[in-house]
Amino acid sequence: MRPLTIRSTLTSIIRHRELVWEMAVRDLKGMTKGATLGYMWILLRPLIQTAAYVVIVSYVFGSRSAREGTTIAYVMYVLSGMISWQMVSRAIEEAPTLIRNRMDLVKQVIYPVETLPLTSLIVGSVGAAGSLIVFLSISMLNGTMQLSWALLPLPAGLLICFTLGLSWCFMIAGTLVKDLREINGIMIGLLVYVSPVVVSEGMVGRELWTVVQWNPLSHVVICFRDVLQGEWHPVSWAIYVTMTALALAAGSAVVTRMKVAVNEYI
Amino acid sequence: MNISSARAARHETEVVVRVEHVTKRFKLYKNIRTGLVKELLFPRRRSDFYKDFTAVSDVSLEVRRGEIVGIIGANGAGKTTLLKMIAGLLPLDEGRIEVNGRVTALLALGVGVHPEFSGRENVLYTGMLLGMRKQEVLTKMSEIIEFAEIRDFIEQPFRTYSSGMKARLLFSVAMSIAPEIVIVDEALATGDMSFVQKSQARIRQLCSSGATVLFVSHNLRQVAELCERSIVMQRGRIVYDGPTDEAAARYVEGVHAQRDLQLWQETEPPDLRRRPLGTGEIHVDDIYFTVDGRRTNTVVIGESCELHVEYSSSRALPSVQLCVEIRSAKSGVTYAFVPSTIPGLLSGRPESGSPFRVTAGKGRVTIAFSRLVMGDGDYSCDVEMFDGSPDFNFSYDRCYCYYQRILRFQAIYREPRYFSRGTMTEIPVDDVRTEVLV
Repeated sequence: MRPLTIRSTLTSIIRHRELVWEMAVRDLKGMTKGATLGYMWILLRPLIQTAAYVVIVSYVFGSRSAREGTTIAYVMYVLSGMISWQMVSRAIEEAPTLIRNRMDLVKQVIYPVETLPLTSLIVGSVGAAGSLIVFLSISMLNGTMQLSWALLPLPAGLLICFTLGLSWCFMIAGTLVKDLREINGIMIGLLVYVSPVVVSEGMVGRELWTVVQWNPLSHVVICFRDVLQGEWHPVSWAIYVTMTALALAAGSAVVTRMKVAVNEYI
Repeated sequence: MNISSARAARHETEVVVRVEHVTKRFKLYKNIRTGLVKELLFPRRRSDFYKDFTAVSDVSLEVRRGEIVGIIGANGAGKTTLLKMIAGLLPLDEGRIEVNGRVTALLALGVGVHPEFSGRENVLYTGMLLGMRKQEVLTKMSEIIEFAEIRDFIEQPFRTYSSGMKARLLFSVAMSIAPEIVIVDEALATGDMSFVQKSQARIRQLCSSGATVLFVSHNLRQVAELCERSIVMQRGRIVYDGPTDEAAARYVEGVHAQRDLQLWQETEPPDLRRRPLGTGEIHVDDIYFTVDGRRTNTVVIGESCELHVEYSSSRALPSVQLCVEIRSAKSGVTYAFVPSTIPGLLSGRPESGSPFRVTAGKGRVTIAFSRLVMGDGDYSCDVEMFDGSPDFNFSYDRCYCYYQRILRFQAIYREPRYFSRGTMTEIPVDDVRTEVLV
């Protein structure tokens, strides 16, 4: 049954690709319409956040390792982590309200709700793509280009599948239990401090690093960073691939089964 | 019959929507906040947390290709729930629905509209949300704008449009699709008369091209003009399925039957809070209709009823005239019951058709109708009592009392055949002659 539901859900997404894309464009336009800086905000937000993390970790917490290496190296470390983190965290935070925020749409029009997370992912990826471009540009200027960059589509593809699966689950659950939005928001806010986005193995020591490893989202960040900075963590890759498969299977099963039923609860 | 006409005939009689014994229940949680969470946490005790409400009960229905089927019924009869299930927007609890073709649901206009976007942008997104491809919308863009009659404003933000313009544009988008099965729910109710007519023509055109339409409206006239066949729903069930004339009659009859039940239960007292105009010598204490001796706010046209005005007077007055003006909310027509000018309407004491004497203290005037002649609809009453002597020069200030909108009531037809004609007043005819002219 499982491969079938995954296939039918993905087929539906492919069939509605035009709608997904146009709705993403519409959301992006809608988000920035009327704002003076317009699209600039989408790019500025992750960069400002990166700067904030760098300042907090290296000066406020006074992490020795962060300051021992060059500041630029640490900035690049945080930036490479931010790219995947902001996509996953945004998806998890947004998913519970995806259906609720489009209540009129879902209730009145025969809307393929399974495409909502992808639309949201495309919107979210604009900021991440901005961060990626900044990262790649600085690396090229520094002469720290990596051959492994060619493999970028691999963690990116996994990221799409992982967040889709996760969003499907949270989207349906969030429609039924409104509190999920707050719970997810708080979780993400806390998890960033036990993730390899801001800390590295060398900075925190063995014990704390084990805690970081228990955070499932850490492996997404580690794998992305592997490709960007030319490292290799096979265990994280194995966990990432397994999580993606599970998320996709669970998500498509949930969304297939519940997408019509949730209309009763909104 | 040759092969192609046989195929055409089969094509026309093909069932595109088949609803079989469908039942839909909704859970009404006792505590709307925690009900669902409790149900999820304690699945064994789930029935403690909600009550079932059956919105659609054992409904069966077949719709053939190219049919326009009207669906009528009071609010809460289950029309929208049924349509949503046909559109696949709600799951069924029992039964089966089979739909052959792409369904477009026009349950509400303006879905997915962004106020900051221009009319043109909104046309694109609305079209796509209704299931069209981008290219398809772009190709039809000029046709849509033309149909909506808002060419000059199409680049302006949608928020600057008048509500009529918004409705026209959105309806035009909806009508530009070439749907196989289209569900229209009240969406036609907006727009001016010529646009409504244009829209109806478009719906007819869609149907003749093979599309099937399910049309929900409370406007019986619209349904009668569009649909040959209609379904009447009452409390979640289909109570009639057949020609629209008969369906409309059944619906109105149903409404009347329900009203008859409520006729005696719902009486609304007069509104005496407002200060009356006039000199204040007389106060109205109560005003009400009675039918068969029972107090009511609903009178039946063509049947008997009595209007009672109870008053108290601070002193004895030799000649008092009473006038009751009633204003129709539906048509704006004002009628007046003036006993002295319509002899015979005033029954009992004092004597019919003339001003009456009032003693200090309480009294009552009863105006009786053996056969009430007036238009149907909701009415409000003004009551004035004034000096009945011939040389009295009428003004509101000089009245003994003048009450505005003191009582509300409704006049209904017992016979349902007058449905959908606006306010209808039957004028009694004294004589009819027939002649043969050579």
